[in-house]
Amino acid sequence: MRRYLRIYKMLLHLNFASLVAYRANFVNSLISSIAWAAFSLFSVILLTGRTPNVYGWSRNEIILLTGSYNIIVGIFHMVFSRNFQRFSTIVHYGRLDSILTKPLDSQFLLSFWLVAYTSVIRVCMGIAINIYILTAMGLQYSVLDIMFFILMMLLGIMLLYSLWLFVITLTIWFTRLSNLVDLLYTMNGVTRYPPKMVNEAGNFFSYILIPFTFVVAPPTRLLLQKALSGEIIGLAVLSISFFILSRLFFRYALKFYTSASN
Amino acid sequence: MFLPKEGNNMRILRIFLLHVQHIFEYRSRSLIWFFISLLNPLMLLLFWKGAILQNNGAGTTLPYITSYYLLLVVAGAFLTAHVEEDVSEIDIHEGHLSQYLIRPFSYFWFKFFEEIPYRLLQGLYGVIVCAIFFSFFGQLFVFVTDPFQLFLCVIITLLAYFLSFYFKMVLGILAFWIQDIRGLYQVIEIVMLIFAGFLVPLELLPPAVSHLSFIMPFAYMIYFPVVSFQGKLPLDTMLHVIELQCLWLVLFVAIYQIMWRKGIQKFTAAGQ
Amino acid sequence: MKTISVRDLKKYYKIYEKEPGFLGSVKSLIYRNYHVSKAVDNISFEIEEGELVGFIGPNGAGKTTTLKCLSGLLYPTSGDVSVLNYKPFERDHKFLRQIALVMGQKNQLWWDLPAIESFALNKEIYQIPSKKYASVLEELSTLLEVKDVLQVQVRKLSLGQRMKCELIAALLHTPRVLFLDEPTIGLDVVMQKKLRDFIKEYNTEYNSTILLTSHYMDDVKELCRRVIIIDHGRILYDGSLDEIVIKYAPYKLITVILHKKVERAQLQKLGKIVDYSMPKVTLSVPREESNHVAAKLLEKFPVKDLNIEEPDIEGIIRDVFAKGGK
Repeated sequence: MRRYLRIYKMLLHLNFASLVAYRANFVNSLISSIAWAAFSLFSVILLTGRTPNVYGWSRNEIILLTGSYNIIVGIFHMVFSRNFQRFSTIVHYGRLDSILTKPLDSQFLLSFWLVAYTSVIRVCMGIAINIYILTAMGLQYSVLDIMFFILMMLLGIMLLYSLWLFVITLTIWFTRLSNLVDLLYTMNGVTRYPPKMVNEAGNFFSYILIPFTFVVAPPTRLLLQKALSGEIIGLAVLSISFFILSRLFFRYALKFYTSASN
Repeated sequence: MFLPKEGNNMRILRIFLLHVQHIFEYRSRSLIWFFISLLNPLMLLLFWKGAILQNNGAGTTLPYITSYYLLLVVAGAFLTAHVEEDVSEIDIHEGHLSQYLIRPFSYFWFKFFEEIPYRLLQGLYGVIVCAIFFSFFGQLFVFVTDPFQLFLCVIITLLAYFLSFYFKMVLGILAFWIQDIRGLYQVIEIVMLIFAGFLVPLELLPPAVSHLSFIMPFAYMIYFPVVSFQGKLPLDTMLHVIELQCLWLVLFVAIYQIMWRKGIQKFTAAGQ
Repeated sequence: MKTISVRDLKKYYKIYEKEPGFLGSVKSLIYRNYHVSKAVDNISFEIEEGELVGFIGPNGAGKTTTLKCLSGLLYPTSGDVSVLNYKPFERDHKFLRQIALVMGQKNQLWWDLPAIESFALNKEIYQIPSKKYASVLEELSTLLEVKDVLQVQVRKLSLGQRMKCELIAALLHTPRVLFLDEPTIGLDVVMQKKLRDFIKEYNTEYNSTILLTSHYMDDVKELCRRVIIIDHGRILYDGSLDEIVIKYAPYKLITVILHKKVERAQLQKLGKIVDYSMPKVTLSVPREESNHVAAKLLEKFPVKDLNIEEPDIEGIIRDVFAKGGK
């Protein structure tokens, strides 16, 4: 475990060094981080312009959801997204071999190789939105509340990670589908709507999306001091079980790869 | 080329067929692209459904909103060309443009006919989804009925496609001058999401934003084809839209031609 | 215990077939044909520690598949494989720390950073002790003459320099077993030669076992005393390069340059005429008779110059493939 931490520390350093070394890339990813955070805020303001109350969420509450969404997805993009992009490219070009011959856990090598530092700005924008809304709503928190929120958020990120891993692992069979990553980016957007909206849609495709509704909403409801124990337990259970499931699935896929690839 | 003499038509047909075949090979991939373009409008539709039911209409009606977003899926798939990254990354920065330049066929039209099979396939998926929806919720659907209006709708749609294609080509060949252009593309994508009507029907936006969106060209690429097929526009407005589309098109064509001439000089001078 | 031991290894694939053209694509939507392709079909061999073995065969002969089975990337259809006493496909980390697989143009270097940074990362991944790391890095970068570019961004290096740095990254942990798949592909003649010298030196320096595949006979001729020739997934020959000549080419070539024209018929009695372009004649004669024939030639004909040669090795191997090892 300590060895993995040391390697991750080294990766953090390398990522920072290459970010600084290639300025244009830095500017581009900074622009896109800011732009998407701003878009998520604008779009929710425009969408709720005529509607004080949707699926049981008030306008302020929905904006708060967007704030939490930017924090959680921001952290996720910082740590994981680009790694999944790399994962599907590696599979697409048949370069999984170089990962498999390293004396290190393959899932670790595929999940933590790249770090997108510029997403920090998105997290900060999310925090700013949340602070603004919570102050406007006049809600008060103890340190313990904040800690609990952070814990829930981490569970949310873990759930998102497991869902992505699950889907991207499919590319080991369907090597052409490297655009599944783009689908996942879009599916992330589902997390910023009230869960009830997806649950009540009641058709086949919306059921697939239900796990995503557990990523952002429960921590946000916690901030609103409205969380039901069911949601919290639901998130914890989903997060842990999907994590285990996705890891097993990934291992199974590697086994398939080494017995059938050519 | 050792091909027998044949007209431009034959060549176009060949480019076209080659890419149809390519699509079949990548059929599953294009299905995923379609899901991607489907997901956001459907989320927005669900959101509006809740908003309308809980807020007494919220200034609109469910049939209007439903048909708007469903037509938007088709329009988004059919009318949004994705050429800019191919042009900038592969053709210009990696230098594949040279291969096009030595062929006796205009680069622009090459790209144009390469793109069409993809758009048709994506649009077809969209039409299928709409048809399924229509069979279930026919009463929630608002659609143009008058044949002359329908004819104008087709013209508006064609002009919209040319407009959007020229716009994307202009964005693509910007890469002659700008090395790292992806940040800019992201910003433009976001601007389009808002001002082309992908997010909210433009007339439901706050008045200032709504007004701004009609001054920009993006509404004429996506929003107007959608609302005209809904049969919401009176005849004279439709004619006015066509007028404005033509105006924008002339402008884009001029910009493209000028940029292409300057850019190609730069490209060949650099000896890439 | 042998370093590498392979017994009755088989690796079969199912291959789906698609007819060419548009109709083929449509057809493949509905049903697909497949056949079993025997990439590796029942091969066995053993390699001792420190051996440098060349693995040759045409494209699709099964070379790469075998290498992948040996390095744990492929699970064999049947048969036993043991490398350093491990079962490769279990990919035990202790096993992986002792091997390296270098395939063509890998890119494990960080593009925007100096190569030295990527090396430092590999130091952590392979848990190389600092002292050993420093000395190995010093040695490898001296051998490959890249000491002065280690601090330069990889994107600014030439292709050759980059390849050398990739090689260093792959060898920093001084693998006891090294699999090289086409190490010199795409390099110019000078670089090829340098890389060959390096492989030889690395082999003696660290007494590592090396299995190398190559298209270039030069690589094999210069590096390997032992070769394994494989085609259609089967081993056609396994042994020393010298013996292959004796086994598959039981003849030598005698070239004479004559003062005066001699009729074909007269020479034909002595051996098979390979080349007849007066005043130069080349005869192919059975190995054991070559001295005798040479003496006769000198005795009976107006010979200006005489030369006895081994036949060209590439030609022999081509013969081996043509005959399928029979």
